[in-house]
Formats: sequence, structure tokens, C-alpha cells
Amino acid sequence: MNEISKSDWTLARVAHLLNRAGFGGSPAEIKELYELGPTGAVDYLVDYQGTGAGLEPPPFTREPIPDLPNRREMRDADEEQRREMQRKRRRLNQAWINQLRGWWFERMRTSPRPLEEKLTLFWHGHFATSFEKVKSAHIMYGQNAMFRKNAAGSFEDLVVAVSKDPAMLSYLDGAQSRKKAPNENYARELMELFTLGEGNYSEKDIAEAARAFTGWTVNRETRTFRKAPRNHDGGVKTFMGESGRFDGEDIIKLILDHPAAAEFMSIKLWEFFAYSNPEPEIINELAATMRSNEYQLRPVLKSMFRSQAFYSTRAGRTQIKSPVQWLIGSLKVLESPLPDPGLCTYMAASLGQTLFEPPNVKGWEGGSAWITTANLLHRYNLASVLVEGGDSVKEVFGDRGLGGPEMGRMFMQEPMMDMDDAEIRRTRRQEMRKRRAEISQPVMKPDMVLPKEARASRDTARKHLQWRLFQSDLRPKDVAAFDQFFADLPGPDAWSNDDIRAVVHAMMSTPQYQLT
Amino acid sequence: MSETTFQTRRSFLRSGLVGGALTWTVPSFLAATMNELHAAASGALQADNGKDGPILVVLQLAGGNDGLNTVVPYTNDEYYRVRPRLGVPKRDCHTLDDDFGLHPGLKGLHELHSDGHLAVIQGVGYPNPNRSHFRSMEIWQTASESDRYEQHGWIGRYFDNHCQGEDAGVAVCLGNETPQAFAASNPKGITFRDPNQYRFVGVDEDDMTAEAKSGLFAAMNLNEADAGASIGTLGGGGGQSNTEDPLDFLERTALDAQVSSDNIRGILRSAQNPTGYPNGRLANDLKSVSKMIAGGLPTRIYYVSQGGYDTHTNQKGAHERLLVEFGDSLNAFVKDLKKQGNLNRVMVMVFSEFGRRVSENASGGTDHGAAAPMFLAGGNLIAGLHGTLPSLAPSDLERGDLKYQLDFRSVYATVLAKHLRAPGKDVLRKPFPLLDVIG
Repeated sequence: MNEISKSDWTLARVAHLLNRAGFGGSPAEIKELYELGPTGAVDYLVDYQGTGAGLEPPPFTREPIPDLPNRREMRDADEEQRREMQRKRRRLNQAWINQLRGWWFERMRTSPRPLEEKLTLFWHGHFATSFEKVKSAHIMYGQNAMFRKNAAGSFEDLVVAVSKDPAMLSYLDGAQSRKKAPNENYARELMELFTLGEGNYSEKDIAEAARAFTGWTVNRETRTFRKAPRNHDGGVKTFMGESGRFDGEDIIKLILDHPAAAEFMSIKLWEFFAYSNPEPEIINELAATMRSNEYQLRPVLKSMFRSQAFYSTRAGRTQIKSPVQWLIGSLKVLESPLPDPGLCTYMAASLGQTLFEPPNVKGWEGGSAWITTANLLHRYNLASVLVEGGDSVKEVFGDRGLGGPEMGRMFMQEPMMDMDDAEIRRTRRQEMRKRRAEISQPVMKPDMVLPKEARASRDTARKHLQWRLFQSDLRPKDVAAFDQFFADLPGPDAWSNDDIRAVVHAMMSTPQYQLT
Repeated sequence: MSETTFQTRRSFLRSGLVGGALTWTVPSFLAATMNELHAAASGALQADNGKDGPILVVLQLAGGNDGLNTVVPYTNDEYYRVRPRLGVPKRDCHTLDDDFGLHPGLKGLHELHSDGHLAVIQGVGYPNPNRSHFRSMEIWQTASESDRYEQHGWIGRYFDNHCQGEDAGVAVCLGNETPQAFAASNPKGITFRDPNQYRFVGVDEDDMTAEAKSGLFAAMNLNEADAGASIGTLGGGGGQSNTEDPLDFLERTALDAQVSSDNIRGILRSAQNPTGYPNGRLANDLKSVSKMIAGGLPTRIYYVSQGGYDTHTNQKGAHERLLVEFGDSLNAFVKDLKKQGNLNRVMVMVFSEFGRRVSENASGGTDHGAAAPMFLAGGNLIAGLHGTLPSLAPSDLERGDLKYQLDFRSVYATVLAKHLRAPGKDVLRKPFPLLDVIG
């Protein structure tokens, strides 16, 4: 692929790279990356091993999994007690998963390795599993850490790790698959959704692969991967024309030997980072790079981020922001701190993306599926919560405000283990009142977003905000609409902080802002 | 925000759109233009479009409703044997026929039965049932086989196959989350908990920025010319086609949103408040649906739900309260539609993700089960009991659950073909036998 040359290296292209390989950046961050030049910038983003790591996960992830309730207690308990124990366990895990969401949002916003977080999110959608079924926050965190560790390394290692991942073993029923009754669920999705795509294997291949994965299960005490030799089918399998006493690792090797595998993953990566329906030449080249590097992903990522095609008009501002991209990207360009973690979870969820709960094994559909008439207006209104706060919060969330039962589930951060139901309800009400007051304070800081020197004239203010929010040239008619908007306003030197907030909100409440 | 502010903002939007103040008829003028554009693009309006077309109201009982205690088999000894505490005595039930009666809380539903407006379909489920709420609801919503994962919902496939050229308001869901049933290649449908939140907020008339902000909003979001052009190339509303520019798609969606938001809120504001409804969220939601129907919204599918049916412990009182609310709310809704003269256009379809275990548990509740009855309510159906109750004999159960006698997709297919007059095969992927339940 033709590489982007130094002379084509512009701030707008750097912004595009940072938006796609991460969650965007402030004008200063874009400038810094620009100074590195195309080769240096891509190396910096992709070879992130030397860069400082991001925010530490919440403390519960470092503590042993409490066996709550443990099995002896369970056995001795009567039905009523057993239900109570299960309720407690649910409450504990719900609070932890919420902590995990808040932590991940903050890590995406602040990590010095933006690509690591973007890839982790990509793999979460690609190898989708949901807390809804897995039910353990520890296991979901373990998977998240596994994705991060393998994010840009060997795809083969990643597929092996996913196949042994307790969340996946639970989500697609692998943990229950044994010699006498192999479960084909994982074997099917492994080929159909994760590595090859439909049409590249037979039903027989699925059945044989399922046999090879039998006995791969989860240790109940430690919640880690375990091979149960008694449940493993050690017999000869015939898979994709080869025969042998294969187990799961062998099957993965054989899958990756299939010519369709590298192409399948090249398309997935290109569509996530660049644009849909890529030209066959691009995919052929990326797939060749993938094969010649034995499925190491870093060379593929570099080749993608350095290609002219990645910076072409097919790529630039043609992607509809996912809810997470919209949220974290907005905080990045506004240089704002993270709002209340429960609010973040609620915002992304109400726009269609709940972290750790993708809708099904296919992950998030993405693209235009993110946008409906109702949630486009909702995006505009949530932007007002971020930049204006105050009355908008009341208007967006209605008279009952935050913390209704559905929303409350996402806001809960503390398990409140030793309380009875009445105490829990009371504590939650108090907590929500307090947080509602905090949420009414918008996270955007007007002086940060539009410094004094940018308020010299309507033109400087318009240019400054347009660059900050859109980081690219817009169509002449869009610029004309913005010019008209600024002409309708008093001069920027007279703007109050509330006026600046209103101006930023107006510019975010546009179709253009939903693109990256 | 007060009504006056809204009026002010709307006048701003109008001036932004057409460059001058106009009368209050503008939003409907705009809507009409949109409809014309859609119609022109799709060739012709479909026969069932508009104010006289059939309407389906889907009512979801979330959590897994206990079918056996809803439609009580009061001559079945096995029922009373496995439900020593929860079994409903015959004398308390509302009689349906010699063998079955409705739960005592379902007085309202029984009245619909007596008036010939209720059909009960017994033993509905699907093969290899799944006991997870999430997964089973997904199976009902996507109408998939229980071992296949579908991205799109059955109503979504109805949009894709039968609603070309309709705007997003062809389906309305009252709730916080868009049901997976709406997911489609060309997503349509509007979801809101409170119609007042389905609008653009954040223009405060006290601020000096208000007028300019409204102007920019109109300039960027009410882009009639471009939206019209893209409708022409697309052949109708809906999602983004493979070739459509994403910005065109977003602009078109923004305009659709503004038009339908104006329409819906206008109708709900000006409609008279219907009477006779009990208190509660379900009743309020059905009241909103009634107002939208009365107001002539061209919506074909409404989606409402009532939660709380996951009765693992102390089921008796909780289940009764739920059924009273369900029966009375539905009763008020049907009577209201009758008064409006719209009952013959409307079919209400009631389902739950599963029934419950045949035997009660030790906590005075029931655990997740399988097959259960569905209900249809409306003006144009063959009232009474349909289908058969699965055998309760222990040897006939599957893991302690009732074996389904009728695939729920047969009910969907029947409603699609006989009520919405849309061949169900496009929507359900394969043919299912139709039931003699709709006139």
C-alpha cells in the first residue's frame, strides 16, 4: 500500500489518526503527535509497550474472589437462605461491574496508550460475552485484562486465550461441553464470527472441533481455566481434511492455516478503524502482511495507519461515533474530567452501548445502527448535560430525575452488603440526591474550551471551536451556517460562561458532530 | 421547560427553516412534505398506510408470567397436587369454560372475554426452551430458533420488508430501551419513556444565545433540501444504505426526528384525556397509545410492557396485584378504543418470555419455566379459548416444565398475515401454520 508522505502530514490527518486509533485528543495532544511525523507518530501509537500504563483497576480485582455463598453453606442452607445468598452475590457483582465500567471509561480517557484501549474495546465487541450471563465481575475483569494484554500481539495467542477464557467458556457453554455430550456453540461461533466467516467450514468441521474443545472448563473455586481430562474426547478427529487426536490448540492452528482467516480479520480491522467495504487490494495486502508475520498484529496495524487509504476521503469523517466514542471523544476535545461514573454508564447504555453487556454474541452492530430518530435527539440532549448541566439535567431525565429503578442499577457502586432492603433503599435515595446535585454541575470548563485570546472576534472564536470540536474542514454550507450562527450572537468578548456553554452545545447538536 | 418557551423555540425553528415567521401550521406542512417525498420515493403509498390501517399493540409481561395461575386448569387434579399453596381454587376463578377459568384478579380481562374481545391461546412456546430471561426474551423478540443468534428483531424485519417509505414513527415504544424486536437493517421506531423528553432540550429563552442557537439547530438539523434529495436516491426512509453518505443519513434522521417529535407531542398535548383508566404505569402508557391512535398518528405498531412477573418468592399477593393492573388497564384501553370507533383496527398481542415451573417451590413462588398462554384482544377476533394446555403429568414434562404445543411464531405469522396483512414469511424466514383466531 502507498504510504502517507511527510508532505501529506497535516494536523487534520493527525486528528483523524488519533480519533480512530484512540478516542481523539485536545488541540495540544494533536500538535504533539504531529511533531513526530507520520512514521514516528504511528510507531508511538502502535509500539506502546514502553509508554506508561494507564489507570489501575478497582481494588476488588486484586482481592481473591469471595466464595459467596460457598458451596458448603449453600448445601446446608434452606431454599429461603439460598435465595438470600444469591441476591447478595448479585448485588455485590452488580456494584463491582459498575466500578469496572467507571474505571474503564476513565482509563480510555486518560491512558497514555490510546490504541491499547481502543483495541481492547474492539476485541470486547469481536469476542463478545456479556455480564448478563456470566454474572461475575471478576471474570469479566479477567477477560478485559486478557484482551488488553493480547491487544496488539499475536492473534493466535489471543484466540487461544479467548478459548480458555472463563467468561467465554461460560457465555458460549464451553464449560459444560464434555466427551459424552459435546456442545457445538463455541466451535460454531469460533469459526463463523471470530475467525473465518460463514462458508469456509462444514457442519462436520463444527462437530469435530466441538469434540476437540471438550473438557476445557472453569475451576469452580478459582474461576480460572482448567482442563478436565476425564471429560475430554481424546479420540481421532477429522477437521478441515486433517486427521489426528486434536485438542483445542490444534484446531485453532488449523483454522489459522485456512486462507480465509487472515482476510476475515483484515476486513474486521479495516472496517473498525478505517471504513466499510474496503477495496480487495487493501485486504489482500493486509492479509499478506498478517500471514508473513505469523499473525502478529503490530505490523498490520502499522501498515494500516500508514497507508494513504487510511487518510483518504473514504475514511475521513465517515464513521458514526459509537456511544463510547461520542462520550470519551467529547471529554477529550473538551478537556473535561470524567462525569459521575454511573452517569457515564447510563449515557452510553441509553445510546445503545453498555460496556460488559454487548447485546449478543455478534457484539455491537455499529455504523448507522447506532442512530435512530429518538437517540439522535437524546445524544444532543446528553451533550447538554455534559456542557450545560443545570436545568438540562432535569429536562433530560424527567421529573423523577436520576435513580429510578432501571437507572439505579447502573449507578450502584457500593454493594451495601450488611444492610436490609429498607436500609438499602434509603441509602440509595440519599446517595442519588447527592450525586444528582453533583451531576447538575457540568464537567465542561468554559475557559479551557474557549480561552480569552480566542474570543478576539467572531471569526477567531468560530475557527477555534470548529477546530476543537470537528478537527477538520467542513462543507462550505456548514461553515456558512456556523458563520450565520456567530453573526446572530453578540461579539464573543461579551460572552458569559453560560453563553459559551450554549454555543458549544449548539455545535455538538449537529449531524456533523456525530461523525468522526 | 414551560410550554411558552417551547412555543418560542418552535417559532425560532420555523424562522430558521423558512427564513421568516409563519403560522403554527408549519410543522404539519413540513410533515406533509416529508410524506409526499417518502411517497414519491417509494412509488405509491401502501394500501394500509395512514389513518385507517391496522394497528398492532404488543404488550410484554416481563419477568416470566405464571401461565398456570393466569389461565387456571381448575378440573386438573395434578395442578392442585403440585401447587398445594399457590393453586387457585375453582370457586375464585372467572369461568372461561368447563375446564378453565381466569385468575380472580383478571376481572377486567374476563369482561373483555364476555364482550367477545379476548382470545386466549394456550400452550405457546418454542422448541428447546431457554430458561434465561435475557436469552428467552431475545428468542421471542428476534423470532429465532433457540440455538441461533439473530441481530434483527421480527418487527425490524417487518420494517425492512413492509415499511419502505414510512418514517420512523411507524412504530412507537413506550419505555427506556428500544426493544430488540425493533432492530433492523433500516431501523425505525421511536422509543421514549416520557414524550416530553422526546425533543431537543437546552434552549433557554432567557439566554441571549437562544435565538441564535435555535437558528443553528434549524440550519443543521432541518435540512429539507438535502434530506429530500437523499430520500429520492434511497427509495424511502429508514437506515443508511450501502452507498448513502453517512452525513446525508444523519441529516435525514435529524429531520425525521424533529417532525415526529413535533407530531407526537402535538397530538398528546391537544388530545383529550380519556377516562376510565386505573392508576399505574401500564394504564398511563396505554392511555398515551390511545391518544396517539385517536390523534391519527400513522403508527402501525406500539410496544408497551409491564414488569415484575419474576415471582420466585411469595408469589400469591404480588402476582394478583400484577394481574389486576394488567386486566384492568387492558379493559380500559379496549373500551376506550371502542368509544373512539377504532377497536376494529387494533389488535393487542400479549406475551411473556416464558411461563413458570409446574410445581411451586419452597418459597411460595415459582421458578423459570417454559410454555404459557398468550392473549389477543381486539374488535376483530374469534373470542374464547384456542390451542391446548400441555399435559401436567410428571412423565410429560420437560425438566419440570410444560411442553409447548404451539410455536409462538405461528401467532406472529397469524397477526402479520390476518391483521397487518403482511405475509409473515418475509418476516419469520419460513412459513408457520396460521391460526383461526382472527376474523
